[in-house]
Amino acid sequence: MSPAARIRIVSAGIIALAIAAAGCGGSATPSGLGNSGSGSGSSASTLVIANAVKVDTLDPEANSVNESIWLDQNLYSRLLQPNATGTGLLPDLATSWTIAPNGLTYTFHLRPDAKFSNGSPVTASDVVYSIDRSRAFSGGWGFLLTPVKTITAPDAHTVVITLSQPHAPLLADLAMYAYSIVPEKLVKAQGASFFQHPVGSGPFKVTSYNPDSEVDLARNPYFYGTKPKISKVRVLIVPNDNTRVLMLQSKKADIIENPPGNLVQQIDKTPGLSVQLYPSTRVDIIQLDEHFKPFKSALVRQALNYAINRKAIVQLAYQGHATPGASFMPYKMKFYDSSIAPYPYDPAKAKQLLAQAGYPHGFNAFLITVSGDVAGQAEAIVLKSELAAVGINISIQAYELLTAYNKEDGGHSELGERYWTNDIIDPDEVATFGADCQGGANAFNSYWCDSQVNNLVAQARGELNDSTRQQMYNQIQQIVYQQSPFIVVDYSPYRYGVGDWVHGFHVTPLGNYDLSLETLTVGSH
Amino acid sequence: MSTAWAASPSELLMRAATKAAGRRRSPIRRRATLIAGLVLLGVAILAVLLAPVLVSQNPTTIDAAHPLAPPLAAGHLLGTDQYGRDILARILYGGRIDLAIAFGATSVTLVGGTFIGLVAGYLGGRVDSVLMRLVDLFFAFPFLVLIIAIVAMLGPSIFNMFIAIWITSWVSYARIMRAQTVVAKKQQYVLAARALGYGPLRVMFRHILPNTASAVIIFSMVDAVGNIILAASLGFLGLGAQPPSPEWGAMISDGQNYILSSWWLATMPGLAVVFVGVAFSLIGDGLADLLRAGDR
Amino acid sequence: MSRFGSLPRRLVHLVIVLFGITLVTFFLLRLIPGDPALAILGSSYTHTRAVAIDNFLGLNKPIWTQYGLFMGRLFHGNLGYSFFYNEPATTVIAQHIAPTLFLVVYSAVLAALISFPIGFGAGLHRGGVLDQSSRIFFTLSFAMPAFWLGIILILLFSVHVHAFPISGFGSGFIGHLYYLFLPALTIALGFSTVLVRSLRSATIATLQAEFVDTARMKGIRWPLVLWRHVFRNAILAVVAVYGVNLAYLISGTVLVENVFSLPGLGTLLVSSVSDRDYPVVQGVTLLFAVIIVAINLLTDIVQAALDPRVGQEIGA
Repeated sequence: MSPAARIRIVSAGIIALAIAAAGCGGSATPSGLGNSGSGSGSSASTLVIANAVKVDTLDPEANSVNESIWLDQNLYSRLLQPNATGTGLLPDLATSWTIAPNGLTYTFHLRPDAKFSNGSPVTASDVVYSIDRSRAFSGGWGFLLTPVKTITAPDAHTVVITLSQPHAPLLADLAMYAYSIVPEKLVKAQGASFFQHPVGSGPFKVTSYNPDSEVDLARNPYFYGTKPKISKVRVLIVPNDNTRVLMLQSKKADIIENPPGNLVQQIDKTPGLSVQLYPSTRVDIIQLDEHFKPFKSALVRQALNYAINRKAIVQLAYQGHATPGASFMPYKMKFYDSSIAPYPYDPAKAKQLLAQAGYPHGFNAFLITVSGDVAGQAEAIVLKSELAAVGINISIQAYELLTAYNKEDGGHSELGERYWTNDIIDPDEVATFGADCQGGANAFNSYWCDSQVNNLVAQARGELNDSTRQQMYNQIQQIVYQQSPFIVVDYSPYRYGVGDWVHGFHVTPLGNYDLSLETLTVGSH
Repeated sequence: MSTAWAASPSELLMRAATKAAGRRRSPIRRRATLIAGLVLLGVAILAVLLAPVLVSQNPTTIDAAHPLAPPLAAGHLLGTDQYGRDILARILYGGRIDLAIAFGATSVTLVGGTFIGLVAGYLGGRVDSVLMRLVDLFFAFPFLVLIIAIVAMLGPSIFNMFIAIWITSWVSYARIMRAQTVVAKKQQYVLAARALGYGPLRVMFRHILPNTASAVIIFSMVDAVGNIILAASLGFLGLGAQPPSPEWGAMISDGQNYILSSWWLATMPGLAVVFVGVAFSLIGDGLADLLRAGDR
Repeated sequence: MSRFGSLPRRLVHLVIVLFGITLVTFFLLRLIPGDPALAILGSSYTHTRAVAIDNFLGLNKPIWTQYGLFMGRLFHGNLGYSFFYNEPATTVIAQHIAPTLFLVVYSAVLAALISFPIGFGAGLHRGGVLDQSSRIFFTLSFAMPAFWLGIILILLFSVHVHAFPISGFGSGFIGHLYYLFLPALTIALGFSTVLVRSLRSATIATLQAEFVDTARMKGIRWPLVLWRHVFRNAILAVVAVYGVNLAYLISGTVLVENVFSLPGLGTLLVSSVSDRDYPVVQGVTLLFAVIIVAINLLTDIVQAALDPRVGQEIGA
């Protein structure tokens, strides 16, 4: 046999071995999507959800990706949980709590029957450990709990929190995903690897974890609440929009996250499928950087508001499935001031205000957008033509996501597309970031400063009386509306494609699936 | 080629002679591929230059009343996109960008890379070592990271796309040219030139280069196709031309969102890329054929 | 000069190249606007939180200190912790290798299966039907951007005709072969163009070579001449082309992985750059570089082994 032929055969053998080795990668190999090309991909007791973004981690103190946060809420419990409309709190691990009259001591009574998915009971010391751990995490959510002095467990079913000053958002903070309760002994023993196969006290537990392709959940047999009707959940990661839609259409997925806007009609028209819209806490804004001279003038900022036709943006960017924005706070959240109406579309008035401000011929500016953001690009195009009509010439600059954010945050930008979502149901977070120039975000990077608003935000944070608090937030919202340090464009909902055979799926304004995964059923299909 | 058994030596010699003779096809036939390629490219260039004459619409005007019109709709030969913009207009105007990339990016890398390869191959020794290590570095570096980094730093724009392509694409030319030069410098004509006392610059550029240029020129045709596709890929990833620029890759990327409902948004610009790519390929093939035949 | 040029010197150069790559990547990453803290915090970004994250991740140290620490760890095979996944970067990368490796080998094999018979046949019967039609076909397919071709294939073979799955990696060896057929075909078609052209030229040139006539005059049967002399030598000429393009192919899987939703190294590279996950980007870049350099070296060695003339030019 010739040397060349020998070499060819040997190399063919090596290649074959390499393929075989790669194929038999065992646990390192993601299991992919669907087990066969035929029929549906799920049985009646399994729910298949296709998400658009991969999971980062299942460690509640370190989550930064929404899709993993929603998983957290099915794997772990917290002291309290948001209700279905995101306007109030319900008991979770804490069945009841008392607040001292001076508002500086909170006593939580834990349910005695709570167990982790390995059968061991959830104790107050687990709660203390989990909250302290998350508080201490560098750059985490500890800043929300700044006024907390001590967290102690006087007995196995009681947790006491003391504060240095009254802190109205405390309960909402404790309901946050970052303060999920994890088993102290296991986390201490296993460290970071615990979160590859976490143990929580939520309705589901993880049976398989491949953050880039699939995460599988199974019913937690020790769950203290309503036992889920479905026994398994398969969360598939499918970043490609079209692929997700195809999966829904071929019934390989029961629910898909965020179908692209242009396919909404097509999905709705398909028998057996529909697109569900769920109100969210998302507020789409245009940041205005006051380092850019024209934006120092409130008249100019107001003029921009009048020049924009929010309805046209909603139509072109969101196929009509969004609400024109008014107050800077998320739509209909607690303490939202619904008496504020969106700025009307009035180009004539806009021109008048611009002239009054000293810009009768308008000016040039650039708008930073995120490349690949379909809705954002559509919005930018509409904005460009609407602002041109009043003499403001916008050049659209699109950057990769973090580059865009970096440029919008530095104090050297002009207009920038951005959005806000709540992490807690309490208004303190959005007020701190959006209205308080000392709050750390420079009032959504506008560098606008109003000391009255700053004081109100601080006061409202410590005001435990709801109706007084409402007054304060109303005032804050009014001032922000009039001064308009940034433009509130619209409130856009969450969009899910859902098969009609799924009954009872629900998404809360915070984005998680609420308790719906416990109560929903998957019919045959 | 016949499958006859080994015949007598004389018959084989006869066959060899006829083979040699038969290879002389008519000049036109021999150049058929090259001519075809040039014609296609010419059509493309004319079309994009005459865009304002060929289409009445502007590539960036939004027509909210007629979004997603299919091809052959009234006044829109290739249909419209999601904002009602005419696709044929966008393709023709976008062609200016993509053809500019094909010519502009390729010519610079051709000249730069060839120069470096020539110098490295001729001078040998340390210079060669250092330059080739540099080439290896660029070759081994995932160009995507480099391009993402460059574009992220400089901002996505057509010009920065040029810069990114210039920085990454010269290596192939350098490699080819160096290999050619290393072989060439042992040839008689180079040894003769050196014996005559010609300096290195003159030997490199007046002797070696003309005789070895064919390889890089042919490769540049392939590279031109590659650069168009690279620009399209950058546009696809959102790193190249920005909205509302009608660059073909960005159009394909945008159109991908509509592939299930309005296939023409992504397909048409793709076909445009194929058209121009085929033109360059044929030119490259034609040149290769021509030069190989000339070698005999 | 030895047949293999100076192999040890080549290896030293290899190490220098890899070292250079880690250096360039390290600094390049930090030049990109936006840092890991911004990636983690998004719209809840405050300077205080960012500083805390920087301290935690060691990003506040002087840059050369960071580089020194990184290289120190690297020599122990430790890439550090992924900022995004909170797992060792090596684990993250290992989880993404299988799809890409499978895809690359699959494409390479498919490309060979497609191009060898066609290239050889086209060269053998120059001007014939196979030659003309394959030229047209491959000229067309070469000009198609891989990501576009992938989309079209999905439309045709997954959506309109449910012959192949839309995306994903599948499970089990046969599953992988099935799921990855369309993506591998997408890559193989582009790859094949160059191979067919190369093999065709090489076949034509070899057929005209003197030793073929000599062999026939010696009385060897034509099919045997074809196999032992023509084919063998033609393949030799293609080895270099195959190797170079295979190396390119590896970093080019990114777009195909995106279109077909494959969780491979290409996808990981793009996402980790977007997430500013420095350790993972370093790791994947280094891995790609090692593979590319190894393939180049292997190609050169194979060529030198098969053809002594080439070996002398390699050792530079």
